[in-house]
Amino acid sequence: LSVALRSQSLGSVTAALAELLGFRGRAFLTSSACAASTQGLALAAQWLAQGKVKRVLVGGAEVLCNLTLEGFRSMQLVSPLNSTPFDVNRKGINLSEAAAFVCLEPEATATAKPLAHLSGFGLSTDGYHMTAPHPEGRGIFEAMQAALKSAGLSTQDISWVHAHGTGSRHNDQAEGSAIARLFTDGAGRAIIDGPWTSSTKWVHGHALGASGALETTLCVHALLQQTILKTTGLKDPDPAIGLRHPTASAPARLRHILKTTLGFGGSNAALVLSQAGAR
Amino acid sequence: MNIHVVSTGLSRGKDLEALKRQGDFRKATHNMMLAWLSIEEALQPLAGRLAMDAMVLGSGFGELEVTRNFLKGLAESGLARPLLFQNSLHNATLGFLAMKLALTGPSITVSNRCFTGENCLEAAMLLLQQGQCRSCLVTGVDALIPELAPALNAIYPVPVTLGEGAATLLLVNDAGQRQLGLPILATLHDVTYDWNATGQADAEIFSHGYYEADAIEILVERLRAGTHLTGTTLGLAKPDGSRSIVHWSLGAG
Repeated sequence: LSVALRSQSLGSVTAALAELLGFRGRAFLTSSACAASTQGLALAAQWLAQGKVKRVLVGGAEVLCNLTLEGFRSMQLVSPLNSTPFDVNRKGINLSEAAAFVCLEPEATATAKPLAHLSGFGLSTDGYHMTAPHPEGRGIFEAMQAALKSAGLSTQDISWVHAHGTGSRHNDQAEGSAIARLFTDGAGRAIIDGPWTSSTKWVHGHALGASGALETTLCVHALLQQTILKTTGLKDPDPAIGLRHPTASAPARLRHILKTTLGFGGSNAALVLSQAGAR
Repeated sequence: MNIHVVSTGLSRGKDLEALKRQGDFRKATHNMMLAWLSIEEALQPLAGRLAMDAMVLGSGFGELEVTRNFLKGLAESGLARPLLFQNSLHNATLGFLAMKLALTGPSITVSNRCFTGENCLEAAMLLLQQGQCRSCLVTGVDALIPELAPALNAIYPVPVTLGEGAATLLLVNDAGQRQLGLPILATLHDVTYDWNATGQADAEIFSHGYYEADAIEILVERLRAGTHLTGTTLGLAKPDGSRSIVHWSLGAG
């Protein structure tokens, strides 16, 4: 217990990484549940915009332990099968562990050819429930709107929404509703050629605080390879959500992707990721 | 874009037991109650207006008591209690407060050891400077469990008396200051770190009992006492010998 308590502070990871890499500058750690690393990316972008740093290593890491496993099971959120985000028969989440990092630089002073652009971000809070999102996804809707606004883009510029899509009934309903509502015309009708929406969590599971960083790196590679990733495992899309899902991972013209994360406690974050050269 | 302190709050000296008897707080954690008491005080000048856009909350130790109780229950009886798990998450305190405050703007939980409070300030400053919000509550909170002190003092170069508490600053940018119309107590300019510094920590400075998010409390105390005005920087030494520097000035300066 004593050894555990000595290193229980989350910032121990940041300190250890900084020492390993020889960093002596600013260091920061967000712990806003599943929105943590997406918020980290947003804050890093603001550090750069403010000129406080020249480049930032930013990402997320999550490891599993009995506390996490038993905790989520006690909340009846874990699926006994592979999770199937947005499926009408979805039964919950699959927990996983992961780590993913990106290096951010301002384009004007970049030391390497950019792989993609972090064009915009939006942060919001539901203020609704400790663990469940607002049923209509009010908070993530505002975060997505804010992200588009900060990127100077409209919904018509988005080719693909890489959703948080955990496979839980509440998350997928709330998030899906928000995405469907965002991509409507002025009369509230769904945009006919609206973007595809998918979640990749059947493949890699829900890495909780690291999910934002992990899935952002997937989006970067999707932009590089101009490929949309499907929602693996999705057999029967939930008609109550009403999103447009790709049936296969396939080549696509991708310029701008909207990435979303929703966290316990109601913290939401959305990013706009753009193809290198598209901005 | 200027960032101003317009109000402060402290939990120290407040009656936790009285709060616990209130309906909303019967199942609240120690962190939640401490944080709320400091926020409640900071919001008094607003006279009931819930007009803040955003919140940044920092806790170095996190929800240790609830985590310990969850694990204890699991180990002893094999029973995992969902409410304890929910409240054990670092973001639980912020989630609870966000509901109380009907918050819809950005909300961030921070935890970075002895720099937790400073990271909170920096996150809030970034949000305000970039116009993500006009006003932001910044709260640093930590609560003790008996097992923590001997464990941490085994690694600090100088033994430290640990404490617990919460403090809040209400920060605004220029647009927020015009909106809320509160007098400016101080202006924040920057936060810098020297967290790899070596050197002897001064145990005497932690007179209130040290906790990892206590930078906010120290700033509140200095503001209230008016003793920060020896210069425009406030250096905060940490138990491990590292340091931070808060760059600020009185009033709108």
